[in-house]
Amino acid sequence: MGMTITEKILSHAGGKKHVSPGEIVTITYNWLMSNDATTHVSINMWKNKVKNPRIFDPGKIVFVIDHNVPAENVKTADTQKLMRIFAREHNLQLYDGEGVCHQLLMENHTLPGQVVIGADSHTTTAGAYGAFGSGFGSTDIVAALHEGTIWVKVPETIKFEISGKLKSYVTAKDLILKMIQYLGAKGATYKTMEITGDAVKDFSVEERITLTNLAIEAGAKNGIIEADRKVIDYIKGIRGEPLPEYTIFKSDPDAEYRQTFTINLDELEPMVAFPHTLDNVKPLKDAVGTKVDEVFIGSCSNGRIEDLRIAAHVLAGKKVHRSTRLLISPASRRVFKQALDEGLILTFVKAGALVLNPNCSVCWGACQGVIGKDEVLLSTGTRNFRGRAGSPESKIFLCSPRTAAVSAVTGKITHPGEFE
Amino acid sequence: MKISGKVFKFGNNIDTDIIIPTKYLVLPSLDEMARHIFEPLRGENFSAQLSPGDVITAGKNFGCGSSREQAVQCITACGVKLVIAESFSRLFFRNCINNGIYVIQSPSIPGMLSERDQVEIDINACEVKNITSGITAKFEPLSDFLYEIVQSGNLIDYFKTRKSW
Repeated sequence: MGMTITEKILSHAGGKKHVSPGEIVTITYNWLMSNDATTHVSINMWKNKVKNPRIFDPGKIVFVIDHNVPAENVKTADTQKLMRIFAREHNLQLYDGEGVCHQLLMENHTLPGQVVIGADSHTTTAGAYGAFGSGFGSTDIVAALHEGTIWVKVPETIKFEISGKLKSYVTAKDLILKMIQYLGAKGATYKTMEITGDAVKDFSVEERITLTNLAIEAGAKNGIIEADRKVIDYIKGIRGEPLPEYTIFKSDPDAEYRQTFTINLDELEPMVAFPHTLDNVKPLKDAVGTKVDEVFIGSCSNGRIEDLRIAAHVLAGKKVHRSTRLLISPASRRVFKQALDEGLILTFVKAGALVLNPNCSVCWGACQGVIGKDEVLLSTGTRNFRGRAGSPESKIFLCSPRTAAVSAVTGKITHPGEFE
Repeated sequence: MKISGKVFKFGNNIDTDIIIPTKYLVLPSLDEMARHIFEPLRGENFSAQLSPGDVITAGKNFGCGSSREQAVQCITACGVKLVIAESFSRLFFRNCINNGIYVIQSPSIPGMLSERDQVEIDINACEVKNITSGITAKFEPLSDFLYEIVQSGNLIDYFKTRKSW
């Protein structure tokens, strides 16, 4: 029986010739990422519970301070300090305020065929390079730091075949929201979402990243897209040549899939996730006219340069509506600098947007842009759970960067195809 | 092993932001964090109602959302050693096992439990007994590998008994 990309990566990382869904394998990871939302939990466990602490391979560990940047109170500051000291003591790579962890892994570390484990659910992002990425809890992270390996159950795979072409005002975000609507918030639990088809080959790498980033929101263990020339060129464009060794795995023609869905992009319209669950996805037209107090463009989901270009294109020569606030946070310092070089930041500032430092920002709702009681947030972020961005009595709608930008101008949720 | 206590019942898609809201994650100790468990749904003093041996039950996709292990650790800190749901998010399930919480996944058992029912769970016999209603049901046990981790109390302790940690 043939294998899927994910099965091939896991069998390779587990030193096996073949694996099948349901099998438990212990795999060697290439990268272990942990950020300031939970690292202090792992460090305390490391100090108090592990008798002979030893990091298996410090060169594979990436620490990122990105969730509360800059620190908004003393408790956060102390938590982050703990992380800085630990990283220094153990000679670990530490990114401090340089961007959102998943973005930094994609810019600087992940390669096709690799295994990325992260103490953060959106580690599924790695799949856009044909790598296996999945989120784990703090205890798993402590064990993995020590062992250099982690156990996983080989997941079954759900395949999405994407055909057709996006309309000018529809984006990859609308597609992944549509996919989550198909599956529901738990439809892919314990499973892989493999996204394939000619349309995905046409997608830019950054569009693909938006897809795999949100695979977890359907419950998936990982999301994956076969790597190609575009991926390699994209990575080289950021890191330069030569790249370290990598492997492009492809699913076998006789690989087994639990389910196959087909989506034709010709028919796709903009989508919105209504409060308070990700799978409460409806066509954007159902939300049109909803007044928005705050709009956020950024996050590991939609804070890359292509997203900012879309927003700047909409906002050029326009003003943010006077009853709405627009907050924009580039996903990394690199993206921020590129947006400066391209003049996008000037466009945002002229339009009246608040441009924030790269971090998880409003999507995480702890240090920036918190919303009050009964307020409505329209966000390109990753989650719309009750109270995630502030008051438990607020509402969060999730959408594409294009929908977010046009709605910031009109002050209400607006269809990007009907703007101007 | 037997566990007995009261039932606290929740619905579908209970996410980790509900179990422990983001703003409390910076609190320095688990005990302080645990005081705010389920606060968005149950208000400020819910944790005081939980006693060791109590059981949490929920509907579908329990623990969806972030990988924050504090969600599970706050449950442990309140003395809860067993959770029953129709289904779990993958990360939450894994975090439960790694923190010594026994997990029962069953499409039907949550439906036979009501808030504040008295229950007794016999893990070796794979049986849930609702003392209040008198109904008994069997469940599918965890695999041996996962049960060994649960019995160790924690994944790290599991490794310690096997390796020179």
